[in-house]
Amino acid sequence: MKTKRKNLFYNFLIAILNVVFIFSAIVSAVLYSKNVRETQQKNKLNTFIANVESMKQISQNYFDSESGYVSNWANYISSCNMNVEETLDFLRNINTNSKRLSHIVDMETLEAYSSYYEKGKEKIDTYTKFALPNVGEYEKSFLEKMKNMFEGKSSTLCILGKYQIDEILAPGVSVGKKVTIEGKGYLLLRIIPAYEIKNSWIFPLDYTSAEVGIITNSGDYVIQSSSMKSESFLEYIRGYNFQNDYNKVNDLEKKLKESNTGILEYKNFRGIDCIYYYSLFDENSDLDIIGCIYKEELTKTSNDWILAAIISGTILVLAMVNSLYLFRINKKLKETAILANQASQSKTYFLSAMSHDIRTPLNAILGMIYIAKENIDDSKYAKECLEKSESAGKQLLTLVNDILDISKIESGKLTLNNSNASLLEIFKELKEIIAPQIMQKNIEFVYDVDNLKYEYVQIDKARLEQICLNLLSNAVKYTNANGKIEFIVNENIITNTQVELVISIQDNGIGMSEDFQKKMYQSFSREIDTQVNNIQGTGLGLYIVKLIVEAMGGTISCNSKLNVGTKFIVKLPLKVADSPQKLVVEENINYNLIQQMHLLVAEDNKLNREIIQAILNSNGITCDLVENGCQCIEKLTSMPFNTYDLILMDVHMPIMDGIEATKRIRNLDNDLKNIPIIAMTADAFKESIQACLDCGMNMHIDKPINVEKLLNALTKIQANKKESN
Amino acid sequence: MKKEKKSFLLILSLLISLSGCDSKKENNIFRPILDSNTKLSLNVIGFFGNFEAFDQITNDFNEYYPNIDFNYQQVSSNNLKDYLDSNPQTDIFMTSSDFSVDNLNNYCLDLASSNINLTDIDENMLSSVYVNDNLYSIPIGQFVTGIVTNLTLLAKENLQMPKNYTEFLNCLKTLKEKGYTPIQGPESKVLSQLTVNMMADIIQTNSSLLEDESKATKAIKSIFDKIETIITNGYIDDNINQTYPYDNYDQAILNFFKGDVPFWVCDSEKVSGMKKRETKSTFFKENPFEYSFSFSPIGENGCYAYHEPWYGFSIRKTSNSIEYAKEFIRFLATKDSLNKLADIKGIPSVAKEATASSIYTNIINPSNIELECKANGTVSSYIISNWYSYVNSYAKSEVSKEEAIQKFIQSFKSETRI
Repeated sequence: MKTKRKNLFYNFLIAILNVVFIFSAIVSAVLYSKNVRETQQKNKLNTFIANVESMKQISQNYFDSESGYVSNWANYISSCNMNVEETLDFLRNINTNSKRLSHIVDMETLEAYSSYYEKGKEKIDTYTKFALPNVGEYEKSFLEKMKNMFEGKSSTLCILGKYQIDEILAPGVSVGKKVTIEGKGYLLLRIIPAYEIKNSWIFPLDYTSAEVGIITNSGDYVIQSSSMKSESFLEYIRGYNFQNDYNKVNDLEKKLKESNTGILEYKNFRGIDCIYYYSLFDENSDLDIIGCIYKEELTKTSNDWILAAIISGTILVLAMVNSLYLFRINKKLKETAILANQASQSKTYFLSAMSHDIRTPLNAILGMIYIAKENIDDSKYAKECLEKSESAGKQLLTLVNDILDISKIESGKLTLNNSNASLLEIFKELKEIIAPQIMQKNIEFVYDVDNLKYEYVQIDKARLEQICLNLLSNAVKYTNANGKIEFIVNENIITNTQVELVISIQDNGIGMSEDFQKKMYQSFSREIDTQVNNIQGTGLGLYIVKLIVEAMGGTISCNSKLNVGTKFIVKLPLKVADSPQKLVVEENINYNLIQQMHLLVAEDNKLNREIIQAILNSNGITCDLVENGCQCIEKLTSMPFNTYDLILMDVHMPIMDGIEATKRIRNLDNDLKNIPIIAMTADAFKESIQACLDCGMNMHIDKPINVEKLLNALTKIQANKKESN
Repeated sequence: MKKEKKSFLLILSLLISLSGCDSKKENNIFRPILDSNTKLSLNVIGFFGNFEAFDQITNDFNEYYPNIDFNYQQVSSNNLKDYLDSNPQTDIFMTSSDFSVDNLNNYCLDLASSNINLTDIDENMLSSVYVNDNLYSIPIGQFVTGIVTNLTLLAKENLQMPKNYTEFLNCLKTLKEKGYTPIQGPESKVLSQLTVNMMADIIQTNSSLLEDESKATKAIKSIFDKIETIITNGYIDDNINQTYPYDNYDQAILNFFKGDVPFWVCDSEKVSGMKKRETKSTFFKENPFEYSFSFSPIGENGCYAYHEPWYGFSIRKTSNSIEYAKEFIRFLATKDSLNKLADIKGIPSVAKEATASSIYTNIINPSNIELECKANGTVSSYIISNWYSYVNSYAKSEVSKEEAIQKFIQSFKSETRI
C-alpha cells in the first residue's frame, strides 16, 4: 500500500514536472516572441521617430529657404528707401512663384497691403482682427508672434499661421522680416498656402499610414495633415477621444507646452488607434512637428506569434506524442511484467512439475531396487522388479530428453537435419514401433498411407517420427481398450516440387474438454481427469509437437470432444526429392576391437565410477579410476607410455574439471597429448558438447550411459587408431 | 360586368401601389452602383472647423468605397462663391439654408434629377430649398429656435414647465420675485429669438396678411405686446445678456451651466454644443441639473413651433468626380446617414423617420402647440433678419413699438418672394 502510494506520488511528481517543463517552454517561447516583437516594435517606433525628425529638418530647410527670400527682399527694400507703392511693385515683380503672396503690415495699425491685388486695391484688413478687444488666445498668440517676428526676437523657425488668406480664400502660413519703408518699420510677410505645403509633403513610403503636420504648442494647426481634422489638434483629439470629458484635453495641451518631444496615443477620426510623435523645432519656437501613424503599423511584426504558436504547438504535439509513446511503453512494460510474472509462475510450475515428474519414476526406480534387494533370493521376482526399475528409468530419460528438446527449440537452436527420405518407410517404421502398444490394448488401427504421389521428400526424419510418435502414443494412451485409431496420410500437391503433407491421427478415445483444448499446447498441460491421471505422461508431448511442427513451417490443429474422441491434423510443407538418396546401411559393428582395451576413467561420482567400471569390465575392458582432472593427468603421466588406450572424462568435477584437464593433456609435450578422450557428461546441451570438442576431446556421450553408444564410440576410436597405425 | 371590371382595376391598382411601396422601401437602403475599387479624392468645402459628424459619414461611406478620400476644407460662408471660382477642383460644398441668398444656382447640380432617392427626407424640409423645381442642396439638419429650461431650478422653486403664455408669465413673475433673471440670451437677439417662431408661423399660415395691413399690424402687434410685457416686467437684463456674445456659444453655454438661468433663449446650433460642454463646465460638473430644449410657450394655447432646414450639401456640376459625388450624396440622403449626422452634430434630423437625442424630444414631437410650421419658403431669411433687427431696435428703445411694427410689416411686404 505504501509502495503504491509512493509510486502514485512519483507519477504525480513526474506529471507535474512535465507540465511545468512544457509550460515553461511555452512561456519561454511566448516571452521570447514577445521580446522580439517588442524589440521590433521599438525599432519601428524609433525609425518612425527618426523619419519625423528628418521631416522636421526638411521643414526647417523649407521654411529657411522661404525666409531667405523675405530676408533678401527686406534688405533690398530697406536699402533702396522705397515707399509702399514701390515696395508693392517690387514685390509683384520679384515674386515669380504664382503660388506665393506678399503682405506688408504696418505694425502700429496692423493695416496691411497685398501685392496680390492690383494697384490702388492693395489694402487689406487680414491682421486687424488680431488686435480687436476680447479676442481669444489664438489671436493674442498670433499677434505676439508677429511682434516677435517684427522685432527679430523669433526663433530659428518662426511661422505665422495657419490663418485665413482672403486672396486665395484658403488658409496659409507666412514667414516674415522687418522692412523699413520710408523710414518706418513694416513687417514683410511671404504667404505660403497651406494646401501647397500639404501637397508637397510626402512621408516616406515605408509607412503607408504615416502623416506629419506642424502645430503650435497650444494645439493650433500650422500645417494640417489630411487625417488631422477639426479646427485645432486639441479639438481633434478631444472630438474623437474625450467625448465624455471636455477638459481632459487640457492635459495634452500642458504636455505639449512643457515637453520638447513626446509620444502620444489617441484614436483618429476613424476610431483607429494611432501613435503621435511630437518634437519642438527649437527651444525658442512654439512649433512642434507632429507625426501620426496607425499603431497597428508599428505593432505589426513579422510572424513572431506564428513562430511562438509553432513552437508551442510543436511542444504540445511532442508532449502528446511522448505521452502516447510513454503510455504505450508503460503498457508494454506492464504486459512484460505480467509475462515475466507468468514466466516466473511458469518456472515455479515447471520446477514443481519437474520435481514431481522426476521424483515419480525415481521413486519407482529406487522402490523397485529396494524390493529386488529384499527379495534377492527370489531371482524371478527380483528380475521383474529390476525390469520395472529399468522402465521407470527410461521414462525418466524420456522426460529429460523432452526437456532438452524444448530448451533447444525455444532457444532457436533446433536445426532440422533434412535429407531425402521415403515417407512410406518412415510411416512403416512408426507402425512397427507403435504396433505392440496397439495390440496390447486391442485397438483397431486403420493405417492408410497409400495415396502419396511423392514418396521421397526432403525431411528431418527423426523429427517427423517424433511428431507422429507423440501423437500416436497419446492416441493409444487415451483410447480405451478395443477402441479405434486412424492414421491417414495424404499429400496436397502445391507444385511439382512442393507438397503439403497432411497427417491425420484420429481416435475415439476419451477426448478433451474445451477448456483444456485452449491450453493443451502449453508445457506440462495434462487434463485433470480421473481417467487421465491414471495415465503416465509428462505433459510436454503436445507442446514439443507444436514447437517442432512450427519449426518445420507447418501447422497443427485439433478437433476433440469429450468422450467422443480426438482428431489431430498436422500439415507440413515439404520439398519433393528428385530421387531417393542411397540409404546408408549400418554396418555390423565388430566389438572385438575393443577387447583388452585399458582405459582411464575420470569421474567424481563414486557410484558412477562403479557403474562405468562394471559396464566396461562386462565387455572385456579394463580401467583405472580417478576422481578429478588433476588426478587424471597425474595418473596418465605417471604411468608408462601406452598404458591407456583412451580416457573417459567426466566434465563437471571438483579441483579440476574435464575441460581444463583435457586442455592440459593436449598441451603435454610428449605423445601422451594425442590420447583419445571421450567426454562423458549429463550436460547434453549443444553448447556443452561443442565446448568439449573445442577443448580437444574426440567424442561426447550422454549420461546416463547408453552401453551400446559407448561401445560403438570405443569401437570407432579403436578402428581409427588401427587404421592410422 | 362593369362592376367586375371596376373590382379588377381596383385590385390591380392596389397591387401596383403596394409594389410601389415595396420598391420605395427597398430604395431606402443604400446600394453602391459604382466601381468600389476606384481611387480618388473628393474635395469638400464646409463652414465648420470641427465637423466630426461629416467625418463619421465619410467613414461609413468608405466601407463601400474604401479608396475614396475626402479632402475637407473649411471656408467662410461669406467667401463661398469666391472660393468656388478660384478652386474649380471642388466637388461638394456646403450651402446655407436660404439657398437663394448665395445665388449659387449656376454652380450646383440639380439633385432632383440626379437619380438620388429623396424619399427618406422630410418633404417639408426640402420644399424650401427647391428653386424652380430644381433641388440644389440636401439639407443636413433642422434649425429651430426655442428656450433651454433649467428643469431642476424650476422644480426647486416649485414651478412646472409652462405650457402656454399665461403659465409662462406666471412662472417668470415667480422667478423674478425670487431674485432670478428669468430670461437670458444674447442681448441683440434674446427677444427676437423668443418670438421668431410666432412671427414665422403667423406669416406662413396667414397669406391674407399681405393684402390687409390692419390685419397684419394686429397680428404683429400681438407679438410686440408680449415683448413689451417681458421688457416692462424686467424679465430680461441687458447687462446679463451682454455676457452672451451671439457668436460665442461656448461662453453662452457655460453661462447657462452656472445653474442660475431659468430660461436661456437660443437655437439648435447652440444646443448642439451643450452635451459635450457639460464636462467643460466646472459648475455643471459639480452640480449637474436637468434641462430641456423646447419651443417658447408664448401662445395662448401653447408653443409656436417653426422648423427650418439647416445648411446643406451641394454638388458642383463641373466636378471631375461627379458620379462619385452623387454617390456620396445618395449615401447621405438615406435615413440612417441623415439621422447619424444629426445625432453626432447634435441637431434635429431632417429624416422623415427622425431619431432624436433626448434633448430634442420636445422639438421632434412637440406637445401643447399653438401653431407648428415647417419652413416652405414663405418666410425668407430676409424677413427673419428684419424681425431680429426691428425687435432689437424696439428692445433698445431706438424705435417705438408702433414704429417697429410698421417698419417690419413694410419690409416683409416689400420682400419679393411674399
